[in-house]
Amino acid sequence: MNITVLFLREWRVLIRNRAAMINPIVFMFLAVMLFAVGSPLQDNTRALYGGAVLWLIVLLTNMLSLDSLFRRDFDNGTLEQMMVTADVPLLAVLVKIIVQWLGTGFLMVLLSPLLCLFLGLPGTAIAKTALLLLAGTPALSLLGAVGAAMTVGFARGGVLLGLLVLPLFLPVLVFGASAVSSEVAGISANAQLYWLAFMSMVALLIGPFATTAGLKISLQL
Amino acid sequence: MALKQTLKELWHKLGSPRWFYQISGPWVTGFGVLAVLLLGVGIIWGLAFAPPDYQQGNSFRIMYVHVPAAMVAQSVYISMGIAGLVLFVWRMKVADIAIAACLPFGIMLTSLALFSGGVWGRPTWGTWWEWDGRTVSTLVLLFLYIGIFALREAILDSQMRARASALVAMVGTINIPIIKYSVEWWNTLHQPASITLTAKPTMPAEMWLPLLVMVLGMYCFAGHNIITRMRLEILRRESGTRWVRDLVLPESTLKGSG
Amino acid sequence: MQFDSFTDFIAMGGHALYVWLAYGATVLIMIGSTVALLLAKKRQISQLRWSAQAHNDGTHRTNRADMETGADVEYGAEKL
Repeated sequence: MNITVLFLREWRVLIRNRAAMINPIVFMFLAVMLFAVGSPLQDNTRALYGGAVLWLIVLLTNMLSLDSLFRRDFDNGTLEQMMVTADVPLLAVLVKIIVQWLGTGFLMVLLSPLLCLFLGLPGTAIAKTALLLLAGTPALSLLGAVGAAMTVGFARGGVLLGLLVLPLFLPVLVFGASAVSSEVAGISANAQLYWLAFMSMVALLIGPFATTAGLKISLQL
Repeated sequence: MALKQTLKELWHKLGSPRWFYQISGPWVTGFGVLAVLLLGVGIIWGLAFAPPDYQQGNSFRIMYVHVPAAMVAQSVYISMGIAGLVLFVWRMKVADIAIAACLPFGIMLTSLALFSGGVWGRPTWGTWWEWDGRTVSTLVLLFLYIGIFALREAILDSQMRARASALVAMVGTINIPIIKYSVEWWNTLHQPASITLTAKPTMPAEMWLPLLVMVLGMYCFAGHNIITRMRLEILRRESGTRWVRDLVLPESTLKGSG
Repeated sequence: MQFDSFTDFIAMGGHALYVWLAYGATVLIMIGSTVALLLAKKRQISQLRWSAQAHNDGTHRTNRADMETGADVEYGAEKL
């Protein structure tokens, strides 16, 4: 199976099924708004927590988006067909994850100026935040896909998905949040950036394999 | 050549639940006796004979249960990951039984580690709970355990359940060092490790000897408990077979049909 | 012995609650778990005895085929 064909197919599914893409993003902004309204903090103190809240919301949004990564195709049988007929199922899975990331993580990178604004983070931190999101969100998509693959068969797999992937997301949260706090405080956050990139690379190494294995188990192949 | 053949046969046999049941009996007794001895000596030593800490006083004695619990809890998870690998590569049923047995014990011990840690923290650092490197790592370990447990509860097909929990156990095991490192890099209130494998311990011998005894005793307790659970599970799974019947009704000399 | 008297030992220099909570939980878990497993094993064995007896009784009354599942294999890695 041609990678371009695969990619185009996934892309078209993503674009045509706008709700699956937009809902998590809307959730993200809702959560940010709730934080801003709920916290009795002044703008300057809000910046202290902004980093942690940003990454927390990024994690939760990813979880939401991951739930529908395989579900639709699983329900209508396309997933099974894809796994059975693809020359390299691993590649097909990877393409799916990449498109999911484009619709979630990458979108977050593009929206980071807005996110920083609503969370009260200073304008100087925007560029670095975007870079951090760019480095860290692939790890979330790749590792989260493993959980999505395992729970795709369950009717109410959502909570179980969270339980399975959140421990894996923890390092990303730790480094991401501390990086934003450092940026806001004026200290360089390069170390955290490299760690996030490193984690994304490790996720790239183990994620697709584990996801493919998980799909084979869920599909009982 | 002959050794390789014997090892291969041994490995092949290990996959048989019946063989495992038959050879594991003495191990259970052995581990049990050792556990009672080591833990008994360790507890009394730690409670009554080890010197109190200069700063922490007697609350420091909690270390003798907290550290072994945490160490064993982590080792058991890694064993689960290894069992998962064995299951994936060699497709051994016994590996799934091992995972099922490690889960409740691991959850118990991780909870004990968290509880004893909190109890230790209150008089020492003034708080029942603090978010620092080690507490978060241990809490994450608990969630990793609970995740596999929930997954097993959700899947009804036994083969699917076995492979799914094996996969999740493996992925979790790979993540443990990453999580550990990232969380310890993050702010920590916890004291640095006082025993490492290569460095000299920073505690005097009268303090870390009972700790060593407790750690060994805890491992023996783990061995006893987990293997017992495995044997129980084997009996349950193989309940329809002849060898189990012969096991529970040894006086029955009557054969099969007719 | 680090303590002057038994009362001192129990008091643990003021940290009695914490030390005994921790050690108590540990001992409770160890003994509790072991006892629970022992009881479960007893229950399992008696249940197996009952069903084994029923099976043996059944096969002596009729000639129906044994419903065993590969039990005559001596040793063999039971695969998934």
